[in-house]
Amino acid sequence: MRERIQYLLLTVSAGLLFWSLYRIAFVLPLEAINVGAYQILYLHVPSFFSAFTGFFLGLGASAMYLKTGNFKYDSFAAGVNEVALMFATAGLASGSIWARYAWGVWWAWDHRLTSMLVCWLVYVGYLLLRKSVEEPTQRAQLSAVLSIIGCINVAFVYKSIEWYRNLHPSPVLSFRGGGGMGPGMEAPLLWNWLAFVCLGIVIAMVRMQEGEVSREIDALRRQAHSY
Amino acid sequence: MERRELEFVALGLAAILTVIFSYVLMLDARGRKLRKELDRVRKMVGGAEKPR
Repeated sequence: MRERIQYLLLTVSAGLLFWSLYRIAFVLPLEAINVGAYQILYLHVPSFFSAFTGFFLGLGASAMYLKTGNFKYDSFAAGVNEVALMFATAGLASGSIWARYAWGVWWAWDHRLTSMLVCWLVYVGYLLLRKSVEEPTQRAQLSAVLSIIGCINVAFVYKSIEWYRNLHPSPVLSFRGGGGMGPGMEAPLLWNWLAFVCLGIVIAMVRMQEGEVSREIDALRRQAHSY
Repeated sequence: MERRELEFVALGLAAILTVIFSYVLMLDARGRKLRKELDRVRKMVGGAEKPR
């Protein structure tokens, strides 16, 4: 059953991505919204939206773990946070390339970029923390707290382009109160977000299966030590 | 679209795909290692159970 869901989600994700990339390459105008190389933003923005979706799911799971003490929530939080970090890395890399084209620099220390870098480092720290603490309960508690702290930073990253005027463009999408991108131009971006979320779910499911194997190894080792 | 712009769009797409594929490959390698380790520990525990 799990495999069927994974194949279905992968098919949906691939279909949406191909359709969306086709629209970006052949249907949308070559020059638009007064921004050069704007096609990168159709993958850059959905990468971050997918990352933020994952970080917020991780926040919910971490809070549930602290409330119930159930390790399934801890495993879920670890899975989605890791996948979300992957999307954040993709977003930062593509953003840096776009910045080189648009601003002439690979990186600028403005509020949005710096806060996102801090956020990225917090979640890298989250993964390192999980590797460095051996005792499962202590590991789960500490990482749950860090996941919650990291998500506060995510909220700051999201709102920073409204609060501060810097190099990074202000909100453009209509649901964020921006002027929109023109008729038919916003939809491919949202479809790409859905495609990335579907892909993220599949990867997170595989990651959680690995978590189950890892827990089984720990349990067997404890059993072996008790003989 | 000028050539330089096209190069940057291609580079952006390549960067995202590289990050995703690298992570998937890393996940796959880690999964194989874990399954190997699980087999090893299962054998070890199976061997430890016999004397009891």
